[in-house]
Amino acid sequence: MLRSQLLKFSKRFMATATQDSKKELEEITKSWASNSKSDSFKIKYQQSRRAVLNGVGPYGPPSLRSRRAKLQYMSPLGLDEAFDSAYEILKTKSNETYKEIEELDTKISQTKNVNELEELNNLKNSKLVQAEIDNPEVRFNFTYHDKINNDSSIIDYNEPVYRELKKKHWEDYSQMLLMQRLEQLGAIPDTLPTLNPRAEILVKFLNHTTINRWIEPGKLLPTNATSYPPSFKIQEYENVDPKKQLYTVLVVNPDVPDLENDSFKTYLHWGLSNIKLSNFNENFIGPKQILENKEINEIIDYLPPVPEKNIPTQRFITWVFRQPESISINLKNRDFDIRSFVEDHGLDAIGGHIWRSEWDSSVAKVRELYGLPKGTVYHRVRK
Amino acid sequence: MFSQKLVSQGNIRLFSTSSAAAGRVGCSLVKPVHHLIKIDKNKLSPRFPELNLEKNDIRNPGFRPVATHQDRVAEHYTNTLQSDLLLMNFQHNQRRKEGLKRRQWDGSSPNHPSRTLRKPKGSEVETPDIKIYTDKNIPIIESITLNCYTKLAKDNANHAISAALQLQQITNCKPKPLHSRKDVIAWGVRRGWLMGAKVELKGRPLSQFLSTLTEIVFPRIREFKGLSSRAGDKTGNLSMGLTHEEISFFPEIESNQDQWSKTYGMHINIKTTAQTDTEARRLLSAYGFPIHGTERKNAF
Amino acid sequence: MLRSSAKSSIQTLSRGFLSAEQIPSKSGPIQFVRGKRTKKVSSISPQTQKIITQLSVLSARKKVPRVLKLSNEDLVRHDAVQRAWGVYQKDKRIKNKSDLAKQYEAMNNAMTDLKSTNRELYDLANVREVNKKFPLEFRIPTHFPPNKVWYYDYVPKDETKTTKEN
Repeated sequence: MLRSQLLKFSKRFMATATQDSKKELEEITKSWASNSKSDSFKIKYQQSRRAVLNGVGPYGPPSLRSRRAKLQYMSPLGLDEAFDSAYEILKTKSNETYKEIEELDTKISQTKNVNELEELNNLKNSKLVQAEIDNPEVRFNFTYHDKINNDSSIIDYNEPVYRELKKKHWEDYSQMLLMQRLEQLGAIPDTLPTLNPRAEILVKFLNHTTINRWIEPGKLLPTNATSYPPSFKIQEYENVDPKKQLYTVLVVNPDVPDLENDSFKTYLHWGLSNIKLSNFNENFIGPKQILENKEINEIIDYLPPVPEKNIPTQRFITWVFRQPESISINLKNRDFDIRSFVEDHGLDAIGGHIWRSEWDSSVAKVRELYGLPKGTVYHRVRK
Repeated sequence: MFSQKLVSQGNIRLFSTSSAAAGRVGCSLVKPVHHLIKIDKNKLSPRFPELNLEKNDIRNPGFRPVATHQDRVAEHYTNTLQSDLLLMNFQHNQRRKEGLKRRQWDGSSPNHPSRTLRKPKGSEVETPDIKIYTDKNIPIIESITLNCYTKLAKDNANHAISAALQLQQITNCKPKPLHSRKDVIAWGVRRGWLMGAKVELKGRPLSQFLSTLTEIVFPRIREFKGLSSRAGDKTGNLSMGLTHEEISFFPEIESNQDQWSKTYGMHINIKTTAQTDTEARRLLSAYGFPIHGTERKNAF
Repeated sequence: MLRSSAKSSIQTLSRGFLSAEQIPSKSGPIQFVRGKRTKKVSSISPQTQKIITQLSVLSARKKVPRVLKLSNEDLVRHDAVQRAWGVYQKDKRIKNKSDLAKQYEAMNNAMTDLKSTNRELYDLANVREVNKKFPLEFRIPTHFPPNKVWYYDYVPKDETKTTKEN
């Protein structure tokens, strides 16, 4: 083992002495199509950029942490030459696409028909994706950086490429997980009949330190954690205009015991309307945004989950809708028929989320905090 | 039949499956789904994350490098054969020639309406239509299946293993075991016995096999006449056989002959997209397959 | 059990070739005795040994190379190479298809023209030649020329023979 390692090391240092030493200091001469101008299409960290475009130099890849691993690392043979010609091929393709986009732009400026214009805009969007999706720097940026709490100078969701990449990433896991949970927990036919997900909805409870992270759909949360209103992130993937589009968020609980009818009824725990996202990156709706933004209408104030003892697990389903026009109603009664509400206001469900709650020892404290009456304790009754 | 009749009554709503007739429950036990998202459970599972990567990703353990060398047989096809075949098959103002189809009964018997349709004229089975030859349906060899069923394996299963290895050596592809399907008393074979192996070749292994066969094996077979002009299944799939002596002409076997005390003959089934056998033979002749005899008179 | 027990010892070896459910059950369980010598004193006959070797050649074990471990940078570079290869192949395919479409169109146009100018020639040109094949001398190009490059005194096979048979 020692001998082979020694050989490797010596190889590396030999290379350092001769030609590879140039590589580390070499200027980056490669550049993608001249029309790709966004900063997010470049790798921010210069050493990584050099390693991706010029090849891994004698001091090893910057992505490896330890010095030992860096020195031991050998790039596969022939990759450098292959990459250079591959980059040229991909770049010329991208240039061609950008030329098509320029032609499309002139077409767009001439057309006045609304439908035609929308079609052309969608086409342009797909061309913009096509022009950048093979860019190695874009791929590097997307693969190795935080996709949810994104730095907009690295992953900029205002660029259609990154939206497309994120959409694929979402469809590969999170979307399937959400739909599976909604179906398994019966949220889909119990609240709304179905969901055609087009946007990713992420939910977080900021106040609670232990679960200050995005909540997995279907998770059973302690009452303590949900005592203050949740924050949302609405990640749109479709080509909507974020400056005009308004959103409604409803948090409903379809499992409230209805003793009179010996059944269950739906409560509206929280409702927000007229939410506007300034762009595809700034789409977080937390307490700060709600306080500052006067346009947001609170349909009903937040009632935390305070399940009574011995009742089944309560489902709290968050629904997010695109709204056709502004909604400025305020409700007093929590009894809620979500289907008729959606129909009345012409809402279009684009995404959802679900968490569950159960009675626990902190329920009493939360009830006290909100000035709610003491909860009942249900017992089994022999029929 | 039973359930179909019930469905056709119209007043009762029934499920259009035959499971009720088979004595099983007549409705689905699978819960309905309320959305259109297809869920891949493998992707949701935390186990084996590498296997969820694409098949051409080098991090996937199932990755196999494909384009490792030039495929001169495939290149020959695209560079030369395709346009030649287009020209050879072309006919101006060609019309779609309808194949043999099942015929209506003449209605002379009251049982005719419920009877299955009459057999096609001059054939046991229906034959497909012959479509117009265009640039979209130029024939190509889709796959070659090598089928090595050895009689010796009924007495000793080891022969089947050797036959499989022989196939692997020749083709460089993993063969699949071949079992006898039925009890055949005359052959002394029981159902489920391991009798040999088969392998389906596509892509580069196909090219490799084809060039070995036509350039090395065929020229060395004594008094080899080639493919018969009368063979084929009428829809462009041809087959031929190699005896166990001819197998030893494959360089992989020949170079190691002392290890191969016994070789096994095999069937070569060539699946093409040609519409007729004549067309398929024309395609094969381009790869150096000798063809003997003349075409049938009514060949298209 | 379909076979006599004499063959069963081999059949258990063929696990690599057969799928699990197809293996006939063994006559008895393997008993492990602590302290017993596990090294075999060549109790296997040479024929059996040969089959074992053959099975090991068939099995995929040890043939799967270890997964390459690349750094993030090199993975992206490798991915770019693969994408470029895909783009190159796709371009080639598209060009080939359009060439064939053009050829077909040209043939069609030529025949239409011929039909309007000379019906006789048209009928001759449109005859379907059932026996038309590629000549046996036709070769798939190789990387290197053959030892004898050109047959100067080559006479093609008499084709009248085959037409007579027709």
